[in-house]
Amino acid sequence: MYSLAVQNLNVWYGGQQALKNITVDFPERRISAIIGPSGCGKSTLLKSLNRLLELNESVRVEGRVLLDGEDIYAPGVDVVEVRSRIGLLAQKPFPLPMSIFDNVAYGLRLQGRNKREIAEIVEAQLQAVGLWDEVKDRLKAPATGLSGGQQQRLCLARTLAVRPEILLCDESTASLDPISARGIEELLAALRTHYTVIMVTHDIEQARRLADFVIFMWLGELIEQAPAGDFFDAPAAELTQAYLARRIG
Amino acid sequence: MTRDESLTLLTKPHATTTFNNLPRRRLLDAAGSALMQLLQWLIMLLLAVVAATLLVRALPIIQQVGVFELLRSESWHPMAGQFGLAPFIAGSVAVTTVAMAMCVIPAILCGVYMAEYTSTRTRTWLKPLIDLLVGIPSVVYGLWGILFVIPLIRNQIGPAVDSTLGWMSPFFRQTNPSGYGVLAAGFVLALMSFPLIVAVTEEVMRSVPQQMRESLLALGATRWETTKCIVRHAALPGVLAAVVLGFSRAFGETLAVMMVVGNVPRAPTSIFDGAYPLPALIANNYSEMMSVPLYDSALMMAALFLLVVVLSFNVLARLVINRLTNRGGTL
Repeated sequence: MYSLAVQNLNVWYGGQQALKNITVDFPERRISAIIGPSGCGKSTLLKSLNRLLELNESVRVEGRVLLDGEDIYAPGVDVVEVRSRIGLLAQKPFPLPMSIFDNVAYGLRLQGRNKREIAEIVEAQLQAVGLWDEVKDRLKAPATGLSGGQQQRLCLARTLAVRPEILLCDESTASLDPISARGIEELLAALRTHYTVIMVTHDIEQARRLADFVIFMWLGELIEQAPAGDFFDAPAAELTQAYLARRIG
Repeated sequence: MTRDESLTLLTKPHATTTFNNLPRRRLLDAAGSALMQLLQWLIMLLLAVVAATLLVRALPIIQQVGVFELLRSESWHPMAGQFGLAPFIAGSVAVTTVAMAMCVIPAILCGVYMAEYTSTRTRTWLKPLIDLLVGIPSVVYGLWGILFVIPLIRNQIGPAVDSTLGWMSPFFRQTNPSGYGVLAAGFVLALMSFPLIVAVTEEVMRSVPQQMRESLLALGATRWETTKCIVRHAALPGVLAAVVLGFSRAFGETLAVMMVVGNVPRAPTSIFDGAYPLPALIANNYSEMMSVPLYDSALMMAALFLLVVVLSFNVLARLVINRLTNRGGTL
């Protein structure tokens, strides 16, 4: 179920090519980590997976992204449906300018769920990300008053509340303090068996801790993709070896 | 410089004390803030001086007749010493209400459209165009009103509205065949406020972080749902400010209104009636009939009233906006 595959994907920003002929198959119900130095196209690849890339008007996309075998870039595809099936946890936590409760409830209201259902899911979701005890007495308070780590957990709860099939994480711990980052990492690890998680990270150690499958990118090209064990123990490509040894990057 | 030398430079303690321009920089810093603070107080002072002047000059008639009587009385007979401002206040309220009713919602939608829906390419020519409309002198709008709006109202809109809605309410009866009146003035004012509200709304919407758009879209919101959420939760205070700006412009506009409103000192009962808003009253009569006792004082009273209304409207809006902002955008 819910598999995601990229075939011959090319992306240009204006005249500049950002992704060059990427083909990759993301294993389902596993954590895939996309690693590589800044500007190598990791975030571009991630954002092409839920078509958020096209908010930027100068972007041109060629190739296919298959969600359960269907190309999400095909004409006639409902982009709203695609995005509600593929959730995104952004790099910086961005709580919507509304209450803690409404942040999680927003997506549920769009789905037309009734009040009781929404209240249940919000509580369950906040429990799941370990935020419930911290916020249960101030659900009506603005979400912007939470700390960075709490905000990111809230964003995760918000994203998961709409029950996506796939979760994209764009360096989601990069802007957090080490303890909060650890918290998010543990949550992602716990999601492993339920979701297909695709995360971008520039932290090799994080990829080593979390990933089941690793994709290494360099200047818009996919250099190597392999199960985490093989990738870290016996990288095939010379560039990968150099990157893991921190000789480049 | 060799590498060793550069390293010694780095490790030399208190390197900054070797620059002896610090006193001068401190002085400039202090002088800069003092100057800007002074200017800020000067602006406050300007407002106070304007208000005080008007008050002092209006005092004779206030003492003789009383504020409430002046604002309530409907008889305007300067020669007989009667200076009732009610017809003019009614005129101002009528034209501003008609203008706001016509332009606020379309202008907000237009601003939102420009910010959220148009492509960058369209925006690059549309935005300067809107800004240009804001800057057109009001006399041009007035002339255009005379040449285009008034014949339209006289020949088409007037008869059409009168025959369809006229029998339902006196409000829509074509009482005045000339075309000059509340509707014409409201129309011209709506045109003048429209680009202002559009420009500010667009500006406010663009200042909402792109990440909010991304977050909402990523949750599976449609474009319309995203836009609605941004307006309601992030841009509402700014949109309100835009409307207040538009209102202030319409309420205080003098020349364009004067040219098309008919200048009849009577409270209008139909949108086709002629009216005589406060700014037009002041501009038309000041320095003309100054030999009439208390006339000048009455006009000052009118000006003071204008100032107070616009000021309190702005203060009120500011309070609402602060409340909105503190509550994270929700009412």
